[in-house]
Amino acid sequence: MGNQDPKIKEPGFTDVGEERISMLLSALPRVEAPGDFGFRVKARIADGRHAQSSAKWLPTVIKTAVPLGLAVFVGGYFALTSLYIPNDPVAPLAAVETAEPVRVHIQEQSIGAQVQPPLVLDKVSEEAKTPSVSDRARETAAKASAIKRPVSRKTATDSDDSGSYVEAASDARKLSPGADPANKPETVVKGTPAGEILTRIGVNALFGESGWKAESVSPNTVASRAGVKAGDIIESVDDQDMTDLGSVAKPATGKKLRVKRDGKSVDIVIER
Amino acid sequence: MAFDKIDSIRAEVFQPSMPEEKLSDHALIEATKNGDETAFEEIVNRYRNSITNYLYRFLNDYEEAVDLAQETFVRVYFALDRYHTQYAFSTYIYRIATNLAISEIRRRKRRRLLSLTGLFQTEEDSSVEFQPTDHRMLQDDELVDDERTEVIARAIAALPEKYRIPVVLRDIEGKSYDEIAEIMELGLGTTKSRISRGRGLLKEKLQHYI
Repeated sequence: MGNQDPKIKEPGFTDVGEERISMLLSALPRVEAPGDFGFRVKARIADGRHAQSSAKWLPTVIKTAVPLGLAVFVGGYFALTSLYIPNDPVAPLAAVETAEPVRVHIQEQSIGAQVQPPLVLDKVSEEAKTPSVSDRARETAAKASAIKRPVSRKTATDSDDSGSYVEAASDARKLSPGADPANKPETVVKGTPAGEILTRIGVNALFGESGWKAESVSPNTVASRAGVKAGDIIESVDDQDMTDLGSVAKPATGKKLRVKRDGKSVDIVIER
Repeated sequence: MAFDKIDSIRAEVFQPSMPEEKLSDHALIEATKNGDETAFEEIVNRYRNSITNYLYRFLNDYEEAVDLAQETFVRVYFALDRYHTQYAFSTYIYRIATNLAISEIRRRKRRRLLSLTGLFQTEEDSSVEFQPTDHRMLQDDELVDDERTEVIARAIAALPEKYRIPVVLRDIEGKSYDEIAEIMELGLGTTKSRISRGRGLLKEKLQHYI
């Protein structure tokens, strides 16, 4: 391949030296592409095609996977938040509506007097008579109840052998009041303040001279099923003294309450 | 000449699918877009030597020039859909080659900066080193020519990019000012000014040969 015609006659030269430089450059020998140039270009194009074809699926996958992952994440979040039931007896729980009849065992005592025969109340919530949960939830609740039952018996009436309690239809159908059957019964963390314990079991109480006085009782809670009424003085929860404003030492489930009503102490034991 | 051989080969190969007269670049591009691989081969054959020579004079490295020239055609091939026929194809391909060459030079600079010796180089030295002419007498005229060619090549490669590109395109590739202005995406006045300035710089370095 020969040199191209030098552009020495163009009018743009400012001086002779510039023109000479232009001639010098145009006189340089030209190099040519190697013989296999076209073949190598073809090979590169083939490589590029392969790379493109192999990379083509990647954006598609990303386009599909990212929204899908996002949808699963968002859906999962809402599913979890809708199914999650906080371990708070005050909050309304779906399981409460379908729970088996709650047995409440109440002992009445005169203050400083001899123990009177226990007053037994069989409190069965009307809404609990119409179960609407699936059998699976019921089985789970039965398991949970079966696990907890020996403890409740011991702490309820068997220990002091005073009073009685009414058995429900079957052990497997016992449900925790105010709690999701799939969850554990509500347990107050150790060292929880007394006021918070009362709030958790559904008693809105104020501490006064006589102790914790129930202002109101939240519906569908342990306290409401136990028959706690406004004006009752909460003396103890799970045998833990509540006459003090301070904290309780042990975890409390609220299954055994002692309230003072009309000058009389009443023990309330909730069987599950 | 290589082009003569290519033309004869092309005449044999493309006899069935192409007419006797030379197709325009745009026609070849359209044929390539329609899946005619041989049309692109023809484009490669038309421009491979000029692009290789341009890049060689720009980079002063033959292997690198060949590599970038091939890359230029690969880029052209994969960007055919984006090519608009309002531009001359030669302008388009030279622009791609120029951009690749500039990228390569900048990559070299980065490499030098990362190297230990690069720490002691100034910006002025970062372009290809220009060595003064050796004035010793040589017996062989061919050797003298080779030496002169080498010195000129180095002097070109030592020019700053903004002068080197238009000077090479003008004085070596024989492009018009308008084409160069389009390739560099500059105004015509700026292009002419840079060419003049580049030649002036070369004149200072190549006083011995003019």
